[in-house]
Parts: sequence; C-alpha cells; structure tokens
Amino acid sequence: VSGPTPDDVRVVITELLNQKLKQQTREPLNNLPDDYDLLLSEGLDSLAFVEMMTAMGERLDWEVDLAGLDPESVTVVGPLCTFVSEQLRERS
Amino acid sequence: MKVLLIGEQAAGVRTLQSLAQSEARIAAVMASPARQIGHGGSLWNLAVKLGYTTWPAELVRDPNFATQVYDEGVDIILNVYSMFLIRKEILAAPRLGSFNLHPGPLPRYAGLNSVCWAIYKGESEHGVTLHKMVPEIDAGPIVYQEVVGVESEETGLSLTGKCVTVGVPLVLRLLETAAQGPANIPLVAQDLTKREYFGREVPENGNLSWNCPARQISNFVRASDFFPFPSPWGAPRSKLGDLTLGISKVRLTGRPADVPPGTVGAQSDGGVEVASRDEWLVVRQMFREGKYISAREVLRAGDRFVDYATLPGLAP
Repeated sequence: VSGPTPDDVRVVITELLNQKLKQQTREPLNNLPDDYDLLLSEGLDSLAFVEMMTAMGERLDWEVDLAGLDPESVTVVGPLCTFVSEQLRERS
Repeated sequence: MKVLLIGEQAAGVRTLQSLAQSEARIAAVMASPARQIGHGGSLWNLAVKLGYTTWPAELVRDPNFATQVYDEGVDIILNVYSMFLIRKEILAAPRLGSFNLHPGPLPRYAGLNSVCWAIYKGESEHGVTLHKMVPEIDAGPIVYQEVVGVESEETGLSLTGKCVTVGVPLVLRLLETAAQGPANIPLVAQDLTKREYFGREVPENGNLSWNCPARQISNFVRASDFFPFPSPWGAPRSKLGDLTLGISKVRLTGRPADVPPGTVGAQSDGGVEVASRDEWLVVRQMFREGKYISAREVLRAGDRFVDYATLPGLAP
C-alpha cells in the first residue's frame, strides 16, 4: 500500500495551520498531538478550517470529502490525519 | 473613524481581524458571550484576546443603549451577521450611521439564510451587499455590492465562505471612503419592487420529496449542507418505514431512473442509489437521531422512501 501515512498528513496540517497563525501574527506550532482540536485549541473560525481543508486537498491531490468522518472528530488532528491517509491509500 | 462592531460567526471574526489591522478605532465589539462549540473561535473570544472592550450583543434590543453609543462618539456601527435586531434609536446614534453586511444581492434575497435559498433555487450567481441600515430589515440604501458565482457542487458552507471573503473588504472600503468624507459614501436606494424576503421558514417544512427532479433534490440537500458545522435548515428529512432520516449528502449520477421515486437501488460511488422523478441520485451521508451516518448502514436495495406529500399533515 502506498500513499501518505497519517504522520505525512500531520506534517501538511501543521504547515497549513502555521500559515494561518502567521496571518494572525501568532507563533507557529510544532508536534501537534492526536487530540489537538484545530477549532477549539487555536480558535480558528469555521471558514479558516474549510480553507485549510481545501489547501490540503490541493497539496495532497485529495478530493476534500469528510462525509465519512464523525463530525465530533473532524477537526481533531489524530482522527483527521488517519481518515485522510486511509482515503488516499485506498485510492492508490 | 470610531467603529462599533456588532457581529457573530466567522464573518464577524474576519471583520475584526481586518479592522484590527486597519486605522479604524474600535469603540467596542458586541457579540454573544457564550462560546458556540463547533463554530470555532468566537468573535467575543477574539475581541477579548485582542484587548477590545466587549458588550453583549443583546444590548441592541434596548433603545436606551443608544445613549451609550452616542456618548462613546461612535462614527459608524458595523453589523456583520449579528443575530439580533437593532433598535431604530441605536441605528441613528452613530455620527455617520449604521451599516450591515448582508450575504445576498439586495433587494433580492433579503432576510435570513439567503445563501441557502440561493442554492435551493438553483441560482448560478449570488451576491453580497453592504447597505445603510434602516428600521426595515435589509431595505436601506446600497453602499457596495459584489457578485459571487454559485458552482454546481456548491454547499451552504462553501457559499457562505465565498460571501465572507468578498464581503469583508467591502467593510474596509466603506471605512476608507468615510474617512475621505461622508458625502463620498454611495447610497443607492433599493428598488423595493424587486424585494424578496425570507424568514425562518425552511422549504417544504424541511421535508424532502423524491418525486422531484434530481437536480432540485440536490439543490435542497446542498443548500442545507454545512458539514461538519450545524446547518440553519437542518438536513432535509425523508421517511423510510418508521425511520425519519436526514439526507445530508447526495451526488447526481445523470442516469435515468425508471422505477418509482424514492426506490432504493444498488450501492454505488461511496453511497446508495435512490430514484428521483427523473434520475438516480447517490445518497452518501445521512443524519439519524443526532448523528451522521453512512447511507450504507441503513439503506437496502428494494427499500422505498415514503413521499412526504402523501403523509397526513405534511403536504404543503
């Protein structure tokens, strides 16, 4: 099975999150833990989250489709990375 | 330019972020103090974090609050997706007036959930309007207006995002124009003969009829789609036996259906096919008892949804 691992996806998410934080003149983050909630932890608004997913889709050549993920987990780094990784690996 | 920002949601957050980097002086930020879980960072929390004075948004219901606005020397009230109706005394208190950013191409699509209605009605274009506020909702003269495209797969959430992205710069443009001289602010009266107003109602009371063209069903579902965030309309409902299910994601197939509308077909493309009046649709995600579920968990070939128009008390 090829395709990005959850840790590969995490690297992309971290980079995109840090771009958002930079726009808000905030300090960058490293080593996002599995239970890190992109909305609740960083106060990103819903549109910033959607923009992040769109950018991640372009970066990973991933059709942004979160329909199979529990909405409670969709903004949490661990489940999100696993879900995106599984989708991409299934496709490849 | 001294500004009082009244707002909510991501649009309010984006506006405050932009104002904070502009030359505007912010008298205070008015929003709902309670954090809305699932909506991300609230305007209230951001204002506190940035060190601005915060007032509860519901104060705009009190006509006596106009005195405070006047005493603060507010030049402009900016109303960005606030959930409260502002009393006319307060609208008149700022030196240059009160202005509202509305996610709709006024005079059409005035009122609530205009983004949802635009997708539901199959519009190919929508718009954002910055207008001066008058006591009648969304009826004041237009300052600036921009058009946004509505794509074939647009959802309520994605179109909301487009409107915010295009709308927030209009607010900054207003402040720049006002700083050059209030007389420069364009105020174009609306043609109220073309006014369309939408309230809290949801099309078909939120019930989905499979006895409609597939495109119409898709429009209704996409208009209601704010996943993973709460939808103002909820997911369109349909009955399967004793189950009431929300239909939250569908995909058009373009393949003609020659079975009765509502008939469940084969699994396909990440979901399960259901017949509409003219084509098969793939139902990909559903909503049951407060949870999103895969259509594959519930639907079986040969099942048939009940058409709501035949249910007692549900026909329009």
